[in-house]
Amino acid sequence: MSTLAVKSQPVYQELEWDRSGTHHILFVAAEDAALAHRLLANPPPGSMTLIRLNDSANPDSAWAKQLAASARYLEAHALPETLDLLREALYASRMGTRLYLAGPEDAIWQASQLADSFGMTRDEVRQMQLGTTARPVFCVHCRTITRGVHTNIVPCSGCGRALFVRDHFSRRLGAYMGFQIDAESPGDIPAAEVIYP
Amino acid sequence: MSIAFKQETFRDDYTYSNSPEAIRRFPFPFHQDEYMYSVNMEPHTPGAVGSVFEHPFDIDEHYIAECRDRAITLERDPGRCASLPHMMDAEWDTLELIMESLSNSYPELFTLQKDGTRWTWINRPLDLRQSFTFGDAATLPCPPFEYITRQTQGDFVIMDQRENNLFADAGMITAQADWSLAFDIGMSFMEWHGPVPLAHELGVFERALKYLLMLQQGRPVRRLNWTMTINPRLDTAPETYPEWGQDRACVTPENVGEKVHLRVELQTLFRLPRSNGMLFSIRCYLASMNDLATYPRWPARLHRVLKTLPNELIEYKGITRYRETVTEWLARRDNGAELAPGTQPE
Repeated sequence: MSTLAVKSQPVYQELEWDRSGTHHILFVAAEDAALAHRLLANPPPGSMTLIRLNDSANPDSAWAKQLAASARYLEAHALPETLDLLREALYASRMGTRLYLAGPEDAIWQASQLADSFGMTRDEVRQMQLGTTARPVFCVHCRTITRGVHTNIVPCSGCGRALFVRDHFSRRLGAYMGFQIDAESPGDIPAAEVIYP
Repeated sequence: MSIAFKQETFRDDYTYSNSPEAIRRFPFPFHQDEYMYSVNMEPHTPGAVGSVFEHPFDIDEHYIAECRDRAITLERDPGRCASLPHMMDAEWDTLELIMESLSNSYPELFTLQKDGTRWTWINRPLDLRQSFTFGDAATLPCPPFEYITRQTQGDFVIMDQRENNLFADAGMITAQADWSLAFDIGMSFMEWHGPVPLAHELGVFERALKYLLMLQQGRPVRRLNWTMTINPRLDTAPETYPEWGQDRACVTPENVGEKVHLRVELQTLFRLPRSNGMLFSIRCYLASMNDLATYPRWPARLHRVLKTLPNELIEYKGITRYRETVTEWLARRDNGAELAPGTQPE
């Protein structure tokens, strides 16, 4: 693992259960059979809800297969609907709830923002990056977030400027910073390279 | 002491200029011929009469013009002033600290009258008079932090202290050296300073944070920071980078003296009494290369600093495009003689 260029970039730990919790909400937005097996074969005490983004219409999800029969299972086919399921689950949750987020950064940080809005603290929420490393990019000029960015330079979906994608990350916005790459010499835009597969 | 306030601009026609007195008191930041980050904090105790350290908050000849420029920036982008909802106590702390300091330091310019929680604030340079109830935001024309920082030179961040950390949870940022409040608000100390090169590896931010967490009320601290700016422009925000980025490409040997400015930030930190937050004031001073050349020590020193500055810092400070041009201009004003340590002009 290389050292991070910018200290605002999140560093993720391997997900582990927080056994001090009494209810566990696991929000998954990508497949990882080994992780699903490791976590679900050894569940913590208390009740559990699994909320899964099923965007590949893959019925053989390791998450769904490994889940104990006593747990609640919810899924949706797109991220916004999956986040809605999480919102409903958090709305009905009580003290002692622990939230585990596993998936691409776009999904887990939108889920984190939801958790913040319900007053959950940083130590009640655990995150782990899985799946694509595509970045959500906040345009510092027009404040639009362009999602699913795989390249180091990307046109802003709001203002169209060619944005350079920095490593500087805002947890509050759940996005990396983008700024106009050719501001000092207009039109001088290098070819974009895929950096975040 | 009365101040002759200048009519001048920090954009478009750039009529900003320094009087000889302003050049003489310019907080030149380089003690020696090489520069590297350090935890260069010292107690913010009153300095020499007339110096930028004389008072807790320095007011100078650019006061009215800077307040005007801030108002223009805020009108174009109200998001340059932001405050998270839990910061209201710290906002009032800030208003009190600045009003008390300014009225003590500059009684001919500012007056604060208190009758219990019924306060009256008089700002003569801006011709304002406001009666309000301390603690009741509805009695001011805008929230207390915005109200007072619209009337004070320098950018301001209020940091909230919790979890053994400092969070940048409020800011009035219209004169920044290329960082975005809209993006950075809410960040922890390390996250906020994330993009700064080399300093993390040197442990500078770790030690600075430890030091600041212990900061006591009534014992503010200060440090100087610096960068370079083309034209005397206060608003060098990432938000408006498309407006000022091209300026960096138009430096020529003929215009270096007037175009290129050394931008020095007098950074001061104050513990706030009720909220236990911390006010971080970033007071910007601009001097053109011609201004600096008034005193031969300064261009010679700056020449040596730029010549030896690590590439990471050149890049981070945005100097890359014109480094050579400005270094050559300064080289002609450096006879190579040894310079005694210190920042003094003479």
